[in-house]
Amino acid sequence: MKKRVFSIFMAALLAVGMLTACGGTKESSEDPAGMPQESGQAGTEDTGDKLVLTWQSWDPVSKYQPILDAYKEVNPDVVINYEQISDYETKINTEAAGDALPDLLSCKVGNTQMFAEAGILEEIDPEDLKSDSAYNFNDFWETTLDYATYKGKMYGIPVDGGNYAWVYNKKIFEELNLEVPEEGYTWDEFLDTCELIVEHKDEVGVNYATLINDYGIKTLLPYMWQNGVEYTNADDTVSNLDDPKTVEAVKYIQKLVDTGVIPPIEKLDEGSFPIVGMLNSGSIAMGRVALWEALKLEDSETLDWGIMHAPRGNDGTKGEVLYVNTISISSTSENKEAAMDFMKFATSEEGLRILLENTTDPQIAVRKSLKDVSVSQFATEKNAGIFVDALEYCKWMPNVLTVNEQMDAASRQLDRIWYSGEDVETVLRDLAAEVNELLKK
Amino acid sequence: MGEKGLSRMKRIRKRGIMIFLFLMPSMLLLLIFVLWPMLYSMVLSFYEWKPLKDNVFVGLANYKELLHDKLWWISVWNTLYYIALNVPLIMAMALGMAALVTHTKLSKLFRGIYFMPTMLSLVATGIAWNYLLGTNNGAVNGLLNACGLSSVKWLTSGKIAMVSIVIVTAWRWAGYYMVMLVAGMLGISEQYYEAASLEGARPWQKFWYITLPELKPILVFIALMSIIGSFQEFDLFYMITSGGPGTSTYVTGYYMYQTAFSSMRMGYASAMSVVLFVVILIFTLLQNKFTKSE
Repeated sequence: MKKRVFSIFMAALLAVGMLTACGGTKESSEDPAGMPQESGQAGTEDTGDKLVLTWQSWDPVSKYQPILDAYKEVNPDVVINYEQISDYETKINTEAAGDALPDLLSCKVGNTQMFAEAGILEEIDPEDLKSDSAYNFNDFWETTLDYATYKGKMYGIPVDGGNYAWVYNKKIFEELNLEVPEEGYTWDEFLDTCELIVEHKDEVGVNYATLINDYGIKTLLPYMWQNGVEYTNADDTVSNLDDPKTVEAVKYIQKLVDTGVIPPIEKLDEGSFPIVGMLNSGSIAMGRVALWEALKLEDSETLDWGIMHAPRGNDGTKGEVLYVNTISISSTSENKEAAMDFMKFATSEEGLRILLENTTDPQIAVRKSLKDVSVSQFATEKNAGIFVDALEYCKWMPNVLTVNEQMDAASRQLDRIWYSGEDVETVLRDLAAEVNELLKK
Repeated sequence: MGEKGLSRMKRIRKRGIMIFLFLMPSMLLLLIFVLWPMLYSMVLSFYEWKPLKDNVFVGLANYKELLHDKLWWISVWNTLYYIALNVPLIMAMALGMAALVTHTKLSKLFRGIYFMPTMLSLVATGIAWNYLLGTNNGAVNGLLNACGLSSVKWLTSGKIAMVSIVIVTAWRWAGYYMVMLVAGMLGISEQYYEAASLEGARPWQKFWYITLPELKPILVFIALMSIIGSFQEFDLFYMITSGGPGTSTYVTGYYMYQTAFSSMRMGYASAMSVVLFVVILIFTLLQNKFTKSE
């Protein structure tokens, strides 16, 4: 009998234990006092009657902690519960389906249109922001606002982001008497420079002049823009991927490989970290480096380096990629006013200054007035201001819904050129046809 | 029915309740985290998924699209090609390693060493092999160059990339299946080998006529498990080649992931998963049939 009672008790305990475990996560997400580890603000803080706003992003809390702390000081009655989310898009979409969206959510490139189309984001009236003179809405770089816009409506405010510039090895350039043009090399000059470096590779100790890390469409876009062709036509209905100028751009990249100044194109890690490593080891003389990774070169004990503009077309046209992260309010938030208040604080001149001055990975200043702050961590002689100057010509793909599918298609099709040596015109025609179908969606 | 019979019935019923209570926690877990998502994805395959709006019922449209989707058929073909290369290699390696380590002095040590890749995280495995097999700066090509051989485009050639992934998969899983084969080999009676020795059998004859037939049920099990696992393979493809170059390593698992989480077409991806489920179910039934008869 005792044995039976004990068995029933154990079984019941197991069941209760399991159900309790299942419910645990829900409780912790609802109760800010039991916040997950990667949450912003004090995890053990008793929120009492305070207003709690949840902000989800893919970035670690350390990035935004200075802003969270500053906001807490001026708004002690509001608690921002910051949550770092992996597999971000899936999580947000699932939360939307389960009516569990956070109040605030970050958006990277490709997110705004996806979330706006799904009805996840609250529309923002730019006129309201413009009417607040202290907020100085006109201070934002025009191009950064595009990232928060979908079908002509605004769904967020730019916060940070990054772009690319070219880092070169000063010692090698001096040894070869190479001068860096103020506005960057034209394509022909760039090829000549690469050839000169490779001619003297044994003297200067490099393997190649530079290399191209294969990011799919992100590799091709700058060359398209530099050659004077946009990714799509004016109303984003037809791609220009089979345009003769795009063909010319791809052939120029191929020429860099064929002449042996760069190694065969290869997919390295996402980001420019492998290039930073190769610059540091002296195996290449220059490379395309992202702003958020360039600061890592400051730790180098052997490399004397500087920053120059990306190569430009032979007629002087410039073009590079820019990523901008924005912050939005979810359509289901019950605290939209408070969320907007925080959002304005975070993207105000004061909030962004705190972010830019305290981050370990430099970010681009989305406000013109903070132009110099975003690169203030670099030594002056590095000429890091080029990253910010590049905002004049940096951009991104059109904000259409199928942007991820277009990027997948580009990666698949461009591989045929880079890795199988297929005819450029044929592949670009196939790619254009596939992307045009996606643009129709 | 007598009193004895009644009390026996009571005992059986109580025992049934006890069994049910003990099974309930794991059954609930299985129901919530396995069965329900499985059934829901079957339902979802008939819909176009929209998180904040009502899902749109599209009937068999997702399945019809699948029939005409060129990329899907490329991924099916690639998966079959992967299985054809992968399964025999894993089995041969597992068998070879098992034969080598079963009766050696340091048997346990070698078993541990060969089993180690199975314990590594798939993501770490993918990253490490990516660096090893890099075309321009990979360690393997560095070694080949040092020996005076030319570089191999391990991951940048459409013809070689799948072979590279197969090498990584076999490296990872052969040790796992080796353990099963070692257990099988240790279970074979020594008397067979003694009798064969008396008859003058050579080592390979003992292996061919005694070891292999005795291991047949385990080998069948391994073959079917590897096939099922290969159909589901995703992580290594995602980490090492992302389906490339071109579509040369686009397998069904990877394409399904891309469709669901990059294109956010959950309904269409669910249709793919249902088709894949049916295929895997067939192989599972086959496995059950074979192992049962053995």
